[in-house]
Amino acid sequence: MQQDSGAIEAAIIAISTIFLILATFIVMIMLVYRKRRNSHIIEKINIQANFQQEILKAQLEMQEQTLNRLSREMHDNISQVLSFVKMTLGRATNLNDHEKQQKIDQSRELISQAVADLRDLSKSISFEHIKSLGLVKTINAEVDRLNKSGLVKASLNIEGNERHLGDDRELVIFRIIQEGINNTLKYAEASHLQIALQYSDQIFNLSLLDDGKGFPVDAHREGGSGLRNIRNRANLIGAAAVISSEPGKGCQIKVTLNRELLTPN
Amino acid sequence: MLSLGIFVWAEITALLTSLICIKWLYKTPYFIFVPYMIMTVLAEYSGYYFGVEHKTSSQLSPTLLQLFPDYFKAHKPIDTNILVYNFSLTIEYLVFFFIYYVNINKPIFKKALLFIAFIFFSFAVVDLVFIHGLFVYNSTKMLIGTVGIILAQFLYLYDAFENNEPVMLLRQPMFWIGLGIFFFYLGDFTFNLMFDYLRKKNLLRHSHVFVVINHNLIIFEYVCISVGLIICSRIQARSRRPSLQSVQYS
Repeated sequence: MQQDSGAIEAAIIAISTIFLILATFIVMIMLVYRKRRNSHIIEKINIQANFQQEILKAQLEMQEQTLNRLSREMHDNISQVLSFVKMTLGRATNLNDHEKQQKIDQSRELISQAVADLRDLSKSISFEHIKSLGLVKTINAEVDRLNKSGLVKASLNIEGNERHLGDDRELVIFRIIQEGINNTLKYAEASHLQIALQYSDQIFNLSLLDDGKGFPVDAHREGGSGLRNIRNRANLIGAAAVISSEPGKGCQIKVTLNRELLTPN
Repeated sequence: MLSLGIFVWAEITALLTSLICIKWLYKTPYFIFVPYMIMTVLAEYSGYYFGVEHKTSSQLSPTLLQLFPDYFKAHKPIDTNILVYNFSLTIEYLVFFFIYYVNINKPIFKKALLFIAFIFFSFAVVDLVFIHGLFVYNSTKMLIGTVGIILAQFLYLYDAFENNEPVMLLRQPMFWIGLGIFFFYLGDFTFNLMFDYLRKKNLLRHSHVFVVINHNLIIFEYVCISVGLIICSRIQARSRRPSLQSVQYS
């Protein structure tokens, strides 16, 4: 009886000990994994916060750029045209009927041009128009504006079927294009700028290629906030940006967005 | 004066903790630990009184014998001890199921826990009425309850792990309370499983080492519960403290 009791007690104690050791392991593993999960969640929250901040920053920059353009256009173009019309009509009082009619026709044409310019301007004034127009049409409008300005001859080439990449992503991509255009206009002294969009089920590619004076890429790796901005913004939407350039051989910016990120946000 | 074991002092400590923190536990589900701890300490005290210190009816207090003369003629003091435990342990399991229920977020887990609690309660009634009765230790109920509590702890751990918000488990009252409960019932599981066999073979009185382990697990359980209650009251105290801004503008 005593032996039976000892054996059973030993068995109960052994099994209980095994259970307790297992429980300790379970709790320890749980604590470690929860800690890792916490840091993962916090990292995710930070990334989301940064993303929202960058989107806001991009919107503000676009707004600022648009306002600058608006101010410039009004000063350099519409205001000049209207002043000219005012002057023309002011001088018309001393002219004969035929000359007066000529001046009035001339003024009407100038006013029509100013109205058209104002209409174009109002279309591009809001950064919200990417949402309503879509990425391709917005880039097209930008290309038209560049061509009208005569600063560079721009072209847009689209491969594949256009698809919506998500409002935030399209805004960031448009900001990358604007940054690229700004760099081309400010530093490249280029005569041609080619913008290419490639849509496929697997991938989305953006390419900006100019025939400007180029630069050694390594020298701009650390410095150059424009190029750094392009890289950061591409990272922000999970894309990869590759900037390749050599002195005298122009510059190419390639942004690639992978399949798993192509679903609209 | 009864000479109480250290594990009873651990229970008394948990009772005192719940009483000290009562202001902060009020309006939280953990308030249930105040009546629960009172019940546990009283049950433990009566267990000592009837089961350890006074083994024959003649040793009982004359007042008790005068109050319930017929009862104590028909039953030994140990029967009263078992009767008290049969009821207090049922309430203990239900309290623990409740505390798990309020700390689990997933509706499906909540439903599962309700189902477990219902099964346990049904078995408790069946055990009390049909299997063992009032004056025999309700081991079937204990076994079902132990399995239920272990399952509840796994549900809680899984639910806490799945939580999409950053949660510091060591700062959660339920983590500590669950830890104590989990270890206690896991350690007691084999004993509860073998209880009927040991009783039939009259081997219960030889399980000294197991009793020592059991008492240590009780100490661990109630220390963990005390820690959980302190953490809960600290969280409550912090949330009720007025912020600098509200003081400034009030």
